[in-house]
Amino acid sequence: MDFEKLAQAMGDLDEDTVVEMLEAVMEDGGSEADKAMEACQKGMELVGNLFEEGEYFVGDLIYAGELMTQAVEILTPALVGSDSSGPKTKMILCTVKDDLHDIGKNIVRAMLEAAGFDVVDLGIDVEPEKVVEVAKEQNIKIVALSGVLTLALDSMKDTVDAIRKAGLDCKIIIGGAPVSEEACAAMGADEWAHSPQKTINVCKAWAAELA
Amino acid sequence: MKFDKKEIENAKMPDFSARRMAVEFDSPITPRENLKLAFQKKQLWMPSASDKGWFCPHIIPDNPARAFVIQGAKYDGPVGGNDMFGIYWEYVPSARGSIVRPGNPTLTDITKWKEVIKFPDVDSWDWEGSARDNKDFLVNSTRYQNVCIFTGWFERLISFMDFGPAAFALMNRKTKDYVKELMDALSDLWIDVVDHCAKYYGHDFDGFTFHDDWGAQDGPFFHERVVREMLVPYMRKVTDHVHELGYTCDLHSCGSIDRLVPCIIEAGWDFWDGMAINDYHTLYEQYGDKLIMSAPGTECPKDASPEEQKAYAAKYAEEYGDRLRPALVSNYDKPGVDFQIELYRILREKYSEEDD
Repeated sequence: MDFEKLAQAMGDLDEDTVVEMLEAVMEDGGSEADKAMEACQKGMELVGNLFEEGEYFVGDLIYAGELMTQAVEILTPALVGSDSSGPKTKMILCTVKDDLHDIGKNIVRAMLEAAGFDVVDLGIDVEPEKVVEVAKEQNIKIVALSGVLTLALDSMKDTVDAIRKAGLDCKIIIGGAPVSEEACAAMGADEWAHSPQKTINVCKAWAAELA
Repeated sequence: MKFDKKEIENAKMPDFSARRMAVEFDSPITPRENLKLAFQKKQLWMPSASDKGWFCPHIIPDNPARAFVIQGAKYDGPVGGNDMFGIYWEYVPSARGSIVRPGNPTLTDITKWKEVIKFPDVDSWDWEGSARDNKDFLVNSTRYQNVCIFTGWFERLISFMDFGPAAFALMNRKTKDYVKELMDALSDLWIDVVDHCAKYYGHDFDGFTFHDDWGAQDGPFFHERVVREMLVPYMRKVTDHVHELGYTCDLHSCGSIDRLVPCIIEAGWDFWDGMAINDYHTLYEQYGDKLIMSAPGTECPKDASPEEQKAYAAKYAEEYGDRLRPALVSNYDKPGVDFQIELYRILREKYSEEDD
């Protein structure tokens, strides 16, 4: 199996080739399923990079996310019990209180999952207390807060404050249209991002530190 | 028509506290008539983006649902609620608008849209009452009145399916034919609405504004290839019909979508009402003869002295005052009074001389 070709097909959003190759991988029960999954993850990185470069659009990110979901469904029977299904870094993702937008959050979730994170998606319009509660319960060390409305900055600050006040040792990244370096500093978050790819890179770096 | 200094001397100044930003000149024709003339490249001065008004009668269920009822008749009914397809829009006070709460979409399988989506009975809306109640408002308005259709083609698909599944359905080879059927059915519905507006409001209004967002701050949602295949033909079906009836077509589409402007032109729109993040300077140079857009911001600092404002106005008139490439003065940076007066004077005189 040419896994470089598989990664490229994923990067090209070539659904037919991706599905065909993954089904071929599964013909012997999936002895190379972990390599196929790595290739798909590499393809997702290509997609993220092409988005950063302006070659791909939001629609392409969504398409890639759906393609990755299909890939996971095909490979899952073989991945259960293999190294690839071992412990993953668990993190929280949500859209903050009073903001009902989920487009950016869902794109980031798909890309984080493709990058190997176990994402606890708390949904939209999420109260700070809920984030604190889940972070405590599940001992989560990375929190990503999303928002579209300018007013989301207030809710992000409330959430950051609640996490700090609860004494939780979490790394927090804020993302979405209204965030900025200044907003990040003012609310005491650790990082900020406009693009999904930056969010993924930051979270991967944090996960490596935590490992 | 010759310029008369009294047009400025008798002008009504803006009331910024009342969010009325434009100087109202004592012009020989109204801003509405001036904008109509812009289509013939015979405008008497450079129109402003605020010369366009939205007419959003409450009888179109989307307008209260989206919390945008703008009409002559008093409306004190609820905002938020069901749109014309029965989709529930949740009003968010802090955003002063409504949104379909994602996560529980009405349509989960695009191949089943004919079974799931119930199209409205446009005839059942109280057109006669609305025409009667809004007659004076429409006839007496000095602004160019566009009937608004708030949720267009892609936005409507999002309201049915949520954003992610809608985008996937639109791009997926296996489902896009179903999307095309739905887009075509929506066009037929809009044509029905347009025909009702024409029948009941007559030519008391001037055109239609359709909302269909195509992008976010960092770029379009889709490549132009997708937009050309999946949206442009269905929009064109409606814009052609609107033009046949003697009205104009205005697209309100947010996001940084510079590269999709050729698609907007191909789809038959006369105006494009976009966001300030787009590079209007380049767009005006490339497409200013094909599409009426807001010109770029005035670049005039808020604390500029009257003389400085006049200098900025002269530069602006030079760059964007070509009568054969009409553009609208942008309101994004709230041009100052002296800027507005000088811009009016310069171009009013210039166009008047061209007519001699």
